[in-house]
Amino acid sequence: MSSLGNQKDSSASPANPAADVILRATGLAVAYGAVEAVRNLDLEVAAGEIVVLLGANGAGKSSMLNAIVGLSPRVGGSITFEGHDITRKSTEMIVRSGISLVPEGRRLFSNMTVRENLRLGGAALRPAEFEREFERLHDLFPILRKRADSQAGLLSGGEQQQVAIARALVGRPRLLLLDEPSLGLAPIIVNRVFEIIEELRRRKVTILLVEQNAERALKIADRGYVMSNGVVEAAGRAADLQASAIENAYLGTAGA
Amino acid sequence: MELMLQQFINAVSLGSIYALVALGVAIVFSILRLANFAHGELMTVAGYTLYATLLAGVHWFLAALAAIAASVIAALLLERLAYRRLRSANPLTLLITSFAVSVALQSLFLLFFGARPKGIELPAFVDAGFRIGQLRVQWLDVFIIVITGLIVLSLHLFLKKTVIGLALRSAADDFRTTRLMGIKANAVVVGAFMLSGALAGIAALFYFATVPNVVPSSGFEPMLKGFIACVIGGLGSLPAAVVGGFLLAFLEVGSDAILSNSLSPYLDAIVFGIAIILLRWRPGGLFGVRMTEDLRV
Amino acid sequence: MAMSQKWWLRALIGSAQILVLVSLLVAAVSLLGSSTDQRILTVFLINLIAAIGLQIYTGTSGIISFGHVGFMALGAYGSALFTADPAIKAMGIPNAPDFILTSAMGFLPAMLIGVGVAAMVAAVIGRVFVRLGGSAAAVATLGFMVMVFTVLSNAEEWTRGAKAFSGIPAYTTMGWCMGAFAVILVIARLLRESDTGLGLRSSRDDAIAAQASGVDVVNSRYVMWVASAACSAVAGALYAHYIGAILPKAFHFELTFLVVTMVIVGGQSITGAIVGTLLITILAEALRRLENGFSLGSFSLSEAPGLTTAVLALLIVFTLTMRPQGLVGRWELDDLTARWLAKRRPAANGTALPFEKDRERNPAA
Repeated sequence: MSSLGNQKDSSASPANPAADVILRATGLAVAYGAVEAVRNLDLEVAAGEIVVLLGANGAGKSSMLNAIVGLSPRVGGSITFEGHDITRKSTEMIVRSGISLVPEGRRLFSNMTVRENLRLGGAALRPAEFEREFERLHDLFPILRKRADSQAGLLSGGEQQQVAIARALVGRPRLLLLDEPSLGLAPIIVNRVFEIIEELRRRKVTILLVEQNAERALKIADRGYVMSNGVVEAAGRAADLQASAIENAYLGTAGA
Repeated sequence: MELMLQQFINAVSLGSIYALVALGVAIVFSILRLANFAHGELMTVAGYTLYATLLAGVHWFLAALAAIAASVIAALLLERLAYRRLRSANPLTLLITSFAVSVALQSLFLLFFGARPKGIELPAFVDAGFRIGQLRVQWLDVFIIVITGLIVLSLHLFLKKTVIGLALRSAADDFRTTRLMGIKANAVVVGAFMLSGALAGIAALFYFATVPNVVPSSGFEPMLKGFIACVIGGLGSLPAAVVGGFLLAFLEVGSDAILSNSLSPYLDAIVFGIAIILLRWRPGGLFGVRMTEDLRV
Repeated sequence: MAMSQKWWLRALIGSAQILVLVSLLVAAVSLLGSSTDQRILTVFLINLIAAIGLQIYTGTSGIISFGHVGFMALGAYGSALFTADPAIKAMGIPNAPDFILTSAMGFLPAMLIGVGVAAMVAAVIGRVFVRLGGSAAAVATLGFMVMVFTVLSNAEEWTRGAKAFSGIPAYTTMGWCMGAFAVILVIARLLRESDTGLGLRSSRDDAIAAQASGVDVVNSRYVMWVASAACSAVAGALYAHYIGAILPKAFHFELTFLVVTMVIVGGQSITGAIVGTLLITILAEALRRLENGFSLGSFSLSEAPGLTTAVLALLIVFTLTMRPQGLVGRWELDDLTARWLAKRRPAANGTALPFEKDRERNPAA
């Protein structure tokens, strides 16, 4: 990795400019009726990177993730994924093109089994392909083997989070969006979730992560963006953000 | 004893028809929260198709297939022309629209076929039967019960084992997240209407085999029974629809057996009355399905 | 500053405005219209009462009922049975109980009996029905409508079953219609503006939240349900004494559809019910006339019995796709006039404008 600028304008770029940027949002705006959730946002994610979106509640982080997959109403700007414009595509087409979102609150299909949940995650796969991918995920998520036929709604919060991540991975996405994976989990379970993310990083999965736990997130991320009131307040290398801007923008807003 | 057994067979056979109607209604409701009152008219479409093809001398098997196909096509047209634009409308609007669609279709039937009942020329085997001791069993009842059993079983497997089936179930649970799995919303909705149409068509075959003439409002009664079956079971759940259908049929046949002759014309009123009492006891239906539409009190 | 009116005053002012408009319509048609026009007007007024009756429940609770035509039927048969000439009853329903056979009551007491029966039935089943929402309520009320139909069609000793019950005195005049309309309009608006009505309306969007903030949703719905059933029964009685002969089939699917449509197409307010009724009455009449004097080549529309209903139903689907909240939404006539007045006459003299506490305010400038 080469050096990253700490200035807002230049720091929004990943390590090797242009070469391996897979997701690029330009001037993105999201609004629910008259309420603007995201304004004029520029964001880039390069292959193999972990990028974290930080900010207080209501800063627009989740809206941003949902906008990428077409679930939030995008009112301006554009998004490209691997060079293709996905701004006007439907959610299902965006997901099929290789982006997978683990939604906030996990959103497992609670009255279906773990295996059925994963099967839907790999809906585009043929049965044999699915079995192979399902097996492949077992070493990362031992729970899949133990609880494959349990009803998803009966699992503990931490187990559900693992299943939700596994469900998003089974279709072999090239970009994983994680929305608050540690939310509502006990500290010891949070550790497990971050272990998984680190393992994913070793396996070169590209991740855009939204996280409240800024300190933990910045430890595993390459770069970060700090959002406040729908705009990017600061951006840059994770280590730099950790040191400085974070206190002003994030903690400042959170304390207000 | 024979009489009891006879009544039992009647109830299972009737319950099969109700269960099929209820399933068709429940599949669409579970996914779109749409109470499709025009489901009865899908059955009427099948009825008129059956009437026309049999009159033209088509073999009964082909006529049956044509009837089912007609229901499926009608269901898909309904989805495309009436319901698709209203997918995000409020529940009350949806409800009235489906009611209006039902009325419009009945009026169109009246326009094209007139009010006079059209007799359906059933093949002879419908009346055939066999005896076990004193018990006379109609092949038709055996047929209805076996086919319904097979349909319920294959529907179960379809919903358990295929990706489309899983998608139908997950969409009923959480449509938004289902789309996050890369599953096309339209595909799910169209799939639900196809299944619903096919179930309406098959239910219509059985219904018109027992009541062999069709009028513009033929579908109303079985539709209402199917819906009531769904409501007693728990609106939105497929197993509840099946159980509700059989329960309603057993209530109906049972009341008919117990009631004196002077009361039997009131059968429907009495059965609905019992259903209302059941609802007093469990407003969410026997299975207590969560009512996302309204408060549970 | 805008001051809030007393709720009952608001209801009375609103009713008065509507009454003036409807009276003008009635006066105009009585003076200028043909006898056909007057017939249409009478039917319009009866439909109006039926629609307002239903709106008392649907407009406040947000729950549709397909069962109110059942209450209309109870009102119709109740009133008809006690007023018809005993000689006719002796032939038509010789096996009916004596108190019916011998009765030859006046209109008002007989109507009240019909209304009482409907209210009692509503009170008994209401405890169940007000707990159901959305589609479950629609299905259950539809079931209730069929229940009433089944009973009336088979209780031959009382009703002549599926055959027409005729010889009902033609008591229904324009005066009765207007009188009943005025009373029910005022009742409807009072119920709507009362705390019960206001609380219930706040539960339309989110019943659970309203309940959490102290609205007694179930009991409020119950009050509206019974009142609404009673008002529907009045419409039924007026209908019976207007047509002179009734049969159970008249209170079935088609009438249900018509009344429900009037209410939904108009909007969620009493004014909405009136606008909807007016629109549907005009449309239905226009279509009927088209049907009579219109033919396309060899295809004569007068032989097309289902056409009116089919076109009506399609128009309704179309209207709802365009305006899902109904034509006037949740507004009442007096809200609209108040807004209009406020715009035309800025509060230069500083006196209070007739604004409502829960409605949009327009600071005069």
